[in-house]
Amino acid sequence: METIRNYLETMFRNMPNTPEVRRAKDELGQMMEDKYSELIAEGLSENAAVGTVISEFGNLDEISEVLGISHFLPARVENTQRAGRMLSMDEIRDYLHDDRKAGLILSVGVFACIVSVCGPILMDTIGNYMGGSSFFDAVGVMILFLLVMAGVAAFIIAGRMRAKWAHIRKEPCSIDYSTAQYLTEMVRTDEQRFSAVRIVGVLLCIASIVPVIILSNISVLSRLFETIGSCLLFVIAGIGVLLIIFSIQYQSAAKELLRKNSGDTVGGNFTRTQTEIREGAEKSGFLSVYWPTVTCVYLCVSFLTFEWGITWLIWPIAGVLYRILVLAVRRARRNGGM
Amino acid sequence: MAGISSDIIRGYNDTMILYLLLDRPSYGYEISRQIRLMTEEKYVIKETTLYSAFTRMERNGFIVSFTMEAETGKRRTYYRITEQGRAYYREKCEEWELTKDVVERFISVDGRRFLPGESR
Repeated sequence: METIRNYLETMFRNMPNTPEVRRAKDELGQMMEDKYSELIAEGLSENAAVGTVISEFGNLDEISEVLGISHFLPARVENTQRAGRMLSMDEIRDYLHDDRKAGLILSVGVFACIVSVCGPILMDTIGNYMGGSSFFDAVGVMILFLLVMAGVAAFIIAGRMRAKWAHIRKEPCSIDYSTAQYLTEMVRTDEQRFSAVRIVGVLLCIASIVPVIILSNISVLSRLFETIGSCLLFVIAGIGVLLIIFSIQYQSAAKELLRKNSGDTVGGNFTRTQTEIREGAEKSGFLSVYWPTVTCVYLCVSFLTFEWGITWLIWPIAGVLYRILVLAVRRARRNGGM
Repeated sequence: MAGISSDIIRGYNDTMILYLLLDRPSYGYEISRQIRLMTEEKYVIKETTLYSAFTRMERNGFIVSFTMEAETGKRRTYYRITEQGRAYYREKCEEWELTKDVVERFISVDGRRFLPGESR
């Protein structure tokens, strides 16, 4: 039955997305399903039944003619070109695999850059205990540079990996019905998992301040504890940022692929209805960078002012602002005639 | 044996469908099944042909469609013949009688000719 549905979806994918065409597709699907059920009931094998149903399906030009969309037929050729070549399932799997690896490398790179400052902080304190040797300062700076270099190297590697697949992002291409279904299912499962990861990331960013507060209040050896506290702050915040970036990057490729099919045709119909509700506002690039930006602002403001007791207020304010922005974007999109 | 010519049969798809709707409303697959059974599988109507005929005849007012739940609880589109459709059906029957009468005058099998109305 799945094969028949795929066949029908593929036949209709370049037809215009109108109520008449959708009705025709539903009716034909109903007839095929009835025929299939009866053939199976007569004792035919699944393959034989599918073969008979498909061989007796007929020709879609007949339908286009009677629906008055014959003028669409020449356009259909152009449309196929615009829709580009079909991506194979293997290609998509490879692409997703590489893209995720690049995402992981990128997030690790960001992490390395964030924790690099721990080098000088740690070495400065150790140097003080060792009698103020400038040797430790030098080591600290070296650690910083090495970590930043590692981070930059990670950015370059990730960029290279992405560049290999640039043709999928830039070239016009499309995916078939079963692939779209597979990707939608995957995005849905991942969405649950990764929204949890994202929340943990945000929580870590907020919680990163806790060790500093606790450790700096222990009076004995306060200098050492303060150093450990600030190092922990960077490490924890770094892990938080890593998780946020990774969870966003992980799904971006699959979502991008789902947007490949044009919304003017029946092929795009599936994608839109299936993903729009779930994706919601995340669709626009602007909102997808919202939380990383807030994190960045939070860290910058906090470090510049060192008013950690107040700056956490950024999070609740940002949360409210996010809702408002989501609603505004949705309304704008609806007014935009989507 | 040569297969059926789709050019000739095309003009009579409507007639077959309307015939099957004369007594009671029916739906897509049931009609295609009846056609297959009545012709002893000599003619199997394609799904797209059937749907095109439905759409065309509905537009011409020969049939009307409505949704009904089948015994199995499945929602289906049923088609019912209209008065206009019955008139069109009678017209097509007369047309076929005439066509058959004309064409048969020129049909010969193994040199044997048939007169109109003569049984083989």
